[in-house]
Amino acid sequence: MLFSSTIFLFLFLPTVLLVYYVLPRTFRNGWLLVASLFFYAFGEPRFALLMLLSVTINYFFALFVDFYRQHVGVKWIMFSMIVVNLGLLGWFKYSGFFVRSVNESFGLSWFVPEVVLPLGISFYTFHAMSYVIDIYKGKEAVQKNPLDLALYIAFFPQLVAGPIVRYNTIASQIECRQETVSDFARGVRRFTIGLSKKLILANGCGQVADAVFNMKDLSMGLAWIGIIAYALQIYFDFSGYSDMAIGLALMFGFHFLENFNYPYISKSVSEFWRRWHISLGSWFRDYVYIPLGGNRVSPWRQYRNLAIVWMLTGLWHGASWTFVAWGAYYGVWIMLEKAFLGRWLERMPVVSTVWTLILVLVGWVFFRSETFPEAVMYIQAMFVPDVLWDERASYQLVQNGVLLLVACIAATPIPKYLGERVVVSLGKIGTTMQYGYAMLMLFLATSALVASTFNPFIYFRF
Amino acid sequence: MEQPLMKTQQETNQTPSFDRIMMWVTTVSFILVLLTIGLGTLVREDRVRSQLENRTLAQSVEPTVEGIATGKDMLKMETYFTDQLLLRGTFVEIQALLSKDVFRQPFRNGIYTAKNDYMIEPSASGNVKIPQAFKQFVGEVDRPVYMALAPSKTVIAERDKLIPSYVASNANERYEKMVRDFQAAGMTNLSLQGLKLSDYFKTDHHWNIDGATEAYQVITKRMGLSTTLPETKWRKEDQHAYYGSLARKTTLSYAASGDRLDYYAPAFFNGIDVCYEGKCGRPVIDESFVKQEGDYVDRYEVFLRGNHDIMSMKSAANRNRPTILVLKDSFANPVLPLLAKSANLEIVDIRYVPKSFDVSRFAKQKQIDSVLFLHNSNIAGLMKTYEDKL
Repeated sequence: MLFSSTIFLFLFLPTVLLVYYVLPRTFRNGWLLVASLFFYAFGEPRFALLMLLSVTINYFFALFVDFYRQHVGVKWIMFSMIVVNLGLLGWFKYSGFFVRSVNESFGLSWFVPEVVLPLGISFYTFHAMSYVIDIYKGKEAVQKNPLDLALYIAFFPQLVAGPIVRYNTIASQIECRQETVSDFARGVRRFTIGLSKKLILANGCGQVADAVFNMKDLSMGLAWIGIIAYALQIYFDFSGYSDMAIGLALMFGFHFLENFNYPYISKSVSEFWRRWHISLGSWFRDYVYIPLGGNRVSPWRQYRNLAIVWMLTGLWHGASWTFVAWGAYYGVWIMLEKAFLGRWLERMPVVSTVWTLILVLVGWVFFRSETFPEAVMYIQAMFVPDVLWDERASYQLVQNGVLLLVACIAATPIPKYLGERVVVSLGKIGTTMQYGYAMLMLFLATSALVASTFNPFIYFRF
Repeated sequence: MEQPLMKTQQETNQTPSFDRIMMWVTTVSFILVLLTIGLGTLVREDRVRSQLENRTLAQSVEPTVEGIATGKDMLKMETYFTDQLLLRGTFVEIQALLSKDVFRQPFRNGIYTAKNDYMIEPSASGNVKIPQAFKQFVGEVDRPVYMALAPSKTVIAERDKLIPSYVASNANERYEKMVRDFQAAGMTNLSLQGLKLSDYFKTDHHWNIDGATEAYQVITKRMGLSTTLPETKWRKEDQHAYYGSLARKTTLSYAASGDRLDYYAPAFFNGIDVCYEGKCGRPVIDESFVKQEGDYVDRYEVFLRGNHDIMSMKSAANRNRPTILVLKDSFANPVLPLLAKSANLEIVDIRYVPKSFDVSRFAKQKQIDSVLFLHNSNIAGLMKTYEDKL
């Protein structure tokens, strides 16, 4: 089930909320777990079993790690845990890609498994691994109650698209939390803003990006319109989903950490990654980069560590060489910034923002393109075009110019800043407007959702 | 850069009681809105058909073990719930308003709304290839063959410089080439180039009664038939706003106003016997379509009740008039009643006859005197059908 679906919005969510608040506190976690499993099983019931398997395995791994903490064999338990988790993830997400790559590289014709990717497997695998690692590091006490652990991994707001919530962030909240009307109202606001980001801005920009990326012989103008639209689509899609997750969690009294912080105003690639998908970046930092030695090793090893982290970051996003290249691309820029570029960029704030934005846009070309030749052709159209402008670019600009402009402004802190100023200066009227705005966004987002299924049948067109 | 969720400055400065009231209002109204729409959708009787979307809506699903296990039933349920959602039409209209008035998008669902409120379908950019079958048919039928190819609204709007070039994509050039190609196939062109944009509905792709009357005059004059123009007293106006196929695609938010559908009174066509589906005495003008309430009633069906695969229109009093085989689409419907005042008509709507239907054989069987193709210039999609059936 998706947050941006009518069944979720008008049946699942109100039912779960009502029952949750009617039930005595003792049963609330149980109810959330049942609701989360239904949420996940809706549409793909068989994969719910896979997720439960992951929960069960990691529950026992954590118990063993805790029990054998002082024993020398604990490292083997950790090793097994990593192998099992990455093995599951690897089979479902990367097996086809791996065999295809081997076949292409060595001219073989091994059988390529057609494995369906279970929804959210990358997220819940990382949730589960971080739990066992945190227990190993002694950051949290082991969870004896398997249902509470299952709730941590399967909690529906963060189950299918993150953010990657660390166990230590919500361990105490699972045991004991205080739901308040203040949190609920803030949750509603956050959720509706996320919903409208996704349904109005991301989907609108997505239509432009899809249209452009499906065209051939792009003019320079069209190529830039297409990649700007895609950058906005992916930002509003993902940050909108994170907003919805954070908002939903607040409605149930959970406090998640932020996952986005206006990444497109960054002054360097390193800063971009401190503002984009923060929970993934910090996961790789804490569970890969730092264990490899982080910054406390020789410069050469630091660069090696960065290379490993960024290749993995690329691969995490998808099983394709274009994703690996995308990760490597960022790795290279971050290394250059670490070496010397960062110091240069610090001296020129405006130039560095524009420079970073261009680098990020070029990066998105790799992320969006199916193949390398497609990506190269697209970048060629952006920088060394055959044609500067054409009618298709005029069409996109006339049709979607205002949408793209609104989205560009919404991707900066300006609306939030202005909104807060208005609310503070208008007092009670401002407060009323703020909450009214949330309801307006709910209606507009619902309208966009329903309109996306508007399917007029126009008989034979003559 | 991870930050815990912070209370906004406003939340800490406001008087606690008012802020708290607003929080309760938000919480309660959010749940109430969701519940009202959700429960309202479940409780309300399911609708079978949407007039707005002109399609059958998804109906409730009987779950099966296999359907649930594969997730297919859940997807069907999602479609069903969204189709039946309370206030669905209102939500669609709100979204259209957002697109039109906030995002200033002139296109909606592929339809361009020009500054004069005419809704225009962008023209396909490729040339229409005329199949060899037309030339072959002209030879086989051994009768004069005429082509009345009405320019589409796009062609006229481009000619009048009312639309940007990316909407028209040189529609006039392609229209003229198509006319030349039909002439090269041995057909006589009955030029309808004199039509104006006002001869078409704003919200529909068809021409209105003025366009149809103009076409009737051109056709009869060029084919050497008598012309019987109705006097003004026969002209009637539907009192309802008519929102045509293009408004259906854009929704009413994009239609500045509805069209008015005029027609000639049924009595003017007395004596014309209309036969289809094995039954004669059918109405030439069926006023029930203009009497129905509803924004999206297909009022254009007032003419002959819409399209039929094979139809004849003959004057009982004058059976010795020439017989014309008309090969047509829905554009012809308001012209045919007028044309039936001048000739006996054997009418074939090529879209609805079976694949095995042979037009040449039909023409010989009906002993026709001439053939008239009566179409709108957006007929690229029909070429394959003609290739198969001519």
